[in-house]
Amino acid sequence: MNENYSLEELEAYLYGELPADRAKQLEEEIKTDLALQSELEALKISREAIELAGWKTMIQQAQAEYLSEREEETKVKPISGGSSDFFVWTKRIAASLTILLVGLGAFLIISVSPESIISNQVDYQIPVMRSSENTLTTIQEAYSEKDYQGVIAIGEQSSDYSAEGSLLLGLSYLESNELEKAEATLLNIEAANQKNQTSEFADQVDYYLVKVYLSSGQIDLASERIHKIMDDTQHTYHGNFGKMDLIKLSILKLKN
Amino acid sequence: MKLSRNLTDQEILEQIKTKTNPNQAISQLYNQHYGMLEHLITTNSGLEEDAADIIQEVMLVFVKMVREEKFRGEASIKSFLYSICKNAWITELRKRKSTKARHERYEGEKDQLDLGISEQISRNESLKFVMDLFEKLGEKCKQVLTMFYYEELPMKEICEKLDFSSEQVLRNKKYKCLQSLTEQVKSSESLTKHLQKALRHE
Repeated sequence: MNENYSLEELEAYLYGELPADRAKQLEEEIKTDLALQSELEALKISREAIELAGWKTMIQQAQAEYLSEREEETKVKPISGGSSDFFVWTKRIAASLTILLVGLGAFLIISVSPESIISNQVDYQIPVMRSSENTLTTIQEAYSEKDYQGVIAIGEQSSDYSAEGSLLLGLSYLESNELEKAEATLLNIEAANQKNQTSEFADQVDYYLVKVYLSSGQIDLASERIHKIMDDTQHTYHGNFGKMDLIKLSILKLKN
Repeated sequence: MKLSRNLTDQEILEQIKTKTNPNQAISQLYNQHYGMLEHLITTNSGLEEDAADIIQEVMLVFVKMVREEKFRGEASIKSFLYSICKNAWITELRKRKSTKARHERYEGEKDQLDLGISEQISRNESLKFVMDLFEKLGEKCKQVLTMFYYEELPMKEICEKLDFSSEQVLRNKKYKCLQSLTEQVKSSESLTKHLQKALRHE
């Protein structure tokens, strides 16, 4: 320990707070006094080290907190990459399916119309006989040529009340969009069958009544006919309707 | 959830220089730059553990240079930290390698070192020895000296916090503690050797 200067004085010198004359004296002595130089340097580096130790403590804490948080984040990530990923993907798939179903539902609601059920309906074809004597009646000939007005004209003037004649007339009404007449004519065939206990063109009547009912907005009646056709495995048109048609029917009922 | 905005470079420098909420500034430096500094070390033969040690040293060098106004924001903090880290890591690698390997591998890198940063790194090496000596002082001494020199609290407040009977008693305690440290510094052979090595830039 230097005997000429106290630690407080040396510290005051370092802070620039030592009186000028005393500071000048000290500077002169430093030039030749190695012990004083060493004393001053030790004091300076000690003060620096004390302050830096304070910073070091704070920096260590900040680093420990940062690394701890980072470690927590990396711990959480594998978990989210594992089991919870399954839930995330399940939710995503469920959400996608929901969107798809909602979209499909919306599409069906917008797009479903009576025409969408009957657009692919099979036209009635007059059976062709192999007999050389096969000749078409005038009403058959008109129907074959798709002269529906001709069929109607012939049918309304004719006294031919055969099932086939009535069917061709009813179908021609249908093609001419005279739905009430078409319905009545086709139902007449059904009534005649019931009366005579026959089943002439019964399947065709069911099938084309579906179109009549759908076109005239009688969805419930159309539904009854479709169910009847689908429930009867022997029905000629059994395979012409499917579950999708039933869904479309339900949508049509909702829309109505 | 983040509730406050990030500090600008200048705000960080100001908070460190004036010791105003320095924790916030240091935490932000870690959040923003640790990854970059770690990458620098781990892609240059270092391990994550090396990076943790070096980055702590980098922060100390940075703080010291800001406090002594050797860095005033002439460059961005990011690039300045990068330079310190690069210098510190090269210095560390030099220590680890044999003299032969050192000359072979790092001769060309000498020019890349920033002289000002290198000097501060060297100075901090010396300070580490004194900090170790400081850590060996009694708990009361450390508290008194830390509150006075790091926290810069007034004597009256330190007196109250540490339950000293009077400011004079505290003043005497501080004198004795500081004297104890400086005596150890003066008598430390390893520090003398280290200072001599630092002067030779080894």
